[in-house]
Amino acid sequence: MSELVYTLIEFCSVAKVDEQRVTEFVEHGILEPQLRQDQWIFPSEALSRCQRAERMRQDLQLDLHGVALALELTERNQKLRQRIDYLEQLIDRLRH
Amino acid sequence: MDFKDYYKILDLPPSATQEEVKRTYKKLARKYHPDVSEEADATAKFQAVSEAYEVLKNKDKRAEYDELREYVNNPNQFQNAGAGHGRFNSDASAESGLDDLLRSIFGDQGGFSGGAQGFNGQRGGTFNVRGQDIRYDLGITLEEAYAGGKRSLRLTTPGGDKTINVTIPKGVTQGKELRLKGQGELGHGEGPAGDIYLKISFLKHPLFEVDENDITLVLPVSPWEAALGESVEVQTLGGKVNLKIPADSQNGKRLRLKGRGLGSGDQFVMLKLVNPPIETDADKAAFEALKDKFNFKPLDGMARPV
Repeated sequence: MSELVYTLIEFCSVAKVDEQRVTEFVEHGILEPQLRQDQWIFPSEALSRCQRAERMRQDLQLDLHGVALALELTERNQKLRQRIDYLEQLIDRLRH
Repeated sequence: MDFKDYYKILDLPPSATQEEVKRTYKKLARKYHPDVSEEADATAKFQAVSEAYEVLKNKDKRAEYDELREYVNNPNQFQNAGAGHGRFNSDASAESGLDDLLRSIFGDQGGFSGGAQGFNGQRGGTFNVRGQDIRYDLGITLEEAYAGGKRSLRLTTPGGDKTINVTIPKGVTQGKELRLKGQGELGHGEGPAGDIYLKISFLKHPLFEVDENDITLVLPVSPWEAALGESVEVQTLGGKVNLKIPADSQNGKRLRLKGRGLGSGDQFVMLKLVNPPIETDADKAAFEALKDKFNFKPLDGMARPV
């Protein structure tokens, strides 16, 4: 799979979030860009994370610590749910 | 658009204080926020709750809405309804669901249209606004995820039906989003079109279960295959392969087929021991012979409470 990456400016324009906000997200560990030639580059997966973070911040009036925590917990929750689904299906197949 | 009872949506009495409205909204917003919620219809519910709050949080809009609600519930109290809607004309109704609500009840005439025009005026021509993004769930088979490939999709968008071609990346996993640049709603003015996001989910597979990028196949085997070992043909996402079941295997044993999962994942084969049906006296005798031979009591090995 080809890896699609964005510079800060590209990323902000696609995500529709301003540079200052993205910088704050990075400072709070919500986004973790890589450094390439002293410039941040963002993987394409960071797009939806950034938009989710911004929606949570606005809609739920969370500060950035809250956003970071909410994102982490919802992601962990989603992983657990998938794992539970997997295990339940597996048990089902072992029984029948 | 039908009349919406914003109080009902927030599950509040019309006498609720501004403080209660705010508190209830915050609670429901957390419950239904599409990025957080696991409820079905979370997006629609969140929108309904937000729309209700948008009106009720503002004292002027709320007063106007209360009058409107009163009118809808008791239309007879308002003599001469035609003149009645003249009162609903403040700017507070613009830029909110209230405007649509008024329009739906009184039609697009008189009264409140000043506010609506002001709003439309702002939107026209002079501003370049990027089009909205559109999101869909895309259910694919595990075979498609494994091999990747192109697929043609017919989507119903706000701008009409359209057919798009999607490339499903090889080894894609559940929950990944595919972005189709510029395929979303058209922009206003010179604003670019939005994007389409397709969120990948897997359709249920008749054989395999998925755990991130690993897949598991439950393989039924007979007691003698497990005991003596056997080479069997098993299904993988890339076709059939030979698998050696080692001798002296137990129920639940997991064998790994490296690199046969999604992307860098593996396929696991989990053995499920199945006894043959015991139908005749001869069947029974065969198992009795086993019993005599082994004198095996697995229960004895089980830990017991003291």
